[in-house]
Amino acid sequence: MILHSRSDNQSRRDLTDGRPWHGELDAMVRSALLERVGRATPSPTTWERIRTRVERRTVRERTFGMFWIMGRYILQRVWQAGLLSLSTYTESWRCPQTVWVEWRFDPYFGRIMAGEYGFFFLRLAF
Amino acid sequence: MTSGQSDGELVLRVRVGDLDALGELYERYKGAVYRTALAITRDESVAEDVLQETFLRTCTYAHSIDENLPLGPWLYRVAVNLSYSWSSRVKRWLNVLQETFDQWVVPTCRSPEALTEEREWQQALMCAIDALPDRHRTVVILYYLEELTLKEIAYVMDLPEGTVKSRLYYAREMLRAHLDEQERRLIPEVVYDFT
Repeated sequence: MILHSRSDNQSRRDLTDGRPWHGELDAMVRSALLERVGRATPSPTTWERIRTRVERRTVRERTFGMFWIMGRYILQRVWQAGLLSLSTYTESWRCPQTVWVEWRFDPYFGRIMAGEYGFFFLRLAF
Repeated sequence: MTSGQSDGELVLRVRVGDLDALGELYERYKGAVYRTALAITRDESVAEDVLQETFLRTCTYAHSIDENLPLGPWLYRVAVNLSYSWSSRVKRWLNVLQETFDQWVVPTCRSPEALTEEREWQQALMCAIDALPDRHRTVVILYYLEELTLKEIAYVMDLPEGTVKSRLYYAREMLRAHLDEQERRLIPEVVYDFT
């Protein structure tokens, strides 16, 4: 089998010509890759593993969500009752994985970041 | 059983926690994602892990996926990044072992007597593809195996299209040089002695 050598310009043109594979090298590369992995299929149990992990995570998120709702309710009540000298209370952003609660009490700006794996507290002084 | 819904419709269902929709996307793309991961990592168990993680991320980040675009390139992007991360981890920690492994593998590539000519060339070519730098090999895999366009590869690898084109060009040149060398080895030069 002989690979016909081509000029650089010809090779560059091949890249833009698109498919099907006209060059001998192109066809060989494709065929070699297909030979190695073309028929490869994942294990039939992979989907079950994905499903189990998603379900477990969903349970964890629901539990977390329940605690989050309770926590937010308590924090709002405490703020409304004036038990904490918070000047601003903001629930700034929420998605299934992460929750931020921001509030302001001079001269500090506080932020609670609650994630999938726990709670983090940041206090930033201005 | 498939619902016949578009990728976008299924993504919308995944967002509200519909596992059947995720399952349908998995059935659609498992082959392509697994093949790509396997071609990059050359390890079946790692390719399985990449496949699993890719679909877990699909579920996690479903809210940020644009449902108006085809899902394929997004999945390739995640799978390629995960495969890269694995490759760089392995390279960092097992560099010495890898070199030893290569020393064992190379002789088998160079002793093709027992193989047919076609298989012999195929094996030589696979050795050449394996020897390509990661960034070139990934472009070759996405272009030839998955038949992505240069534009799609640029999105998957987060590169300008021109860079993808150039990597593909140099990868082909490297493969061609490798095969030329193989050819010279298999067809020894005949020396005539006119005395």
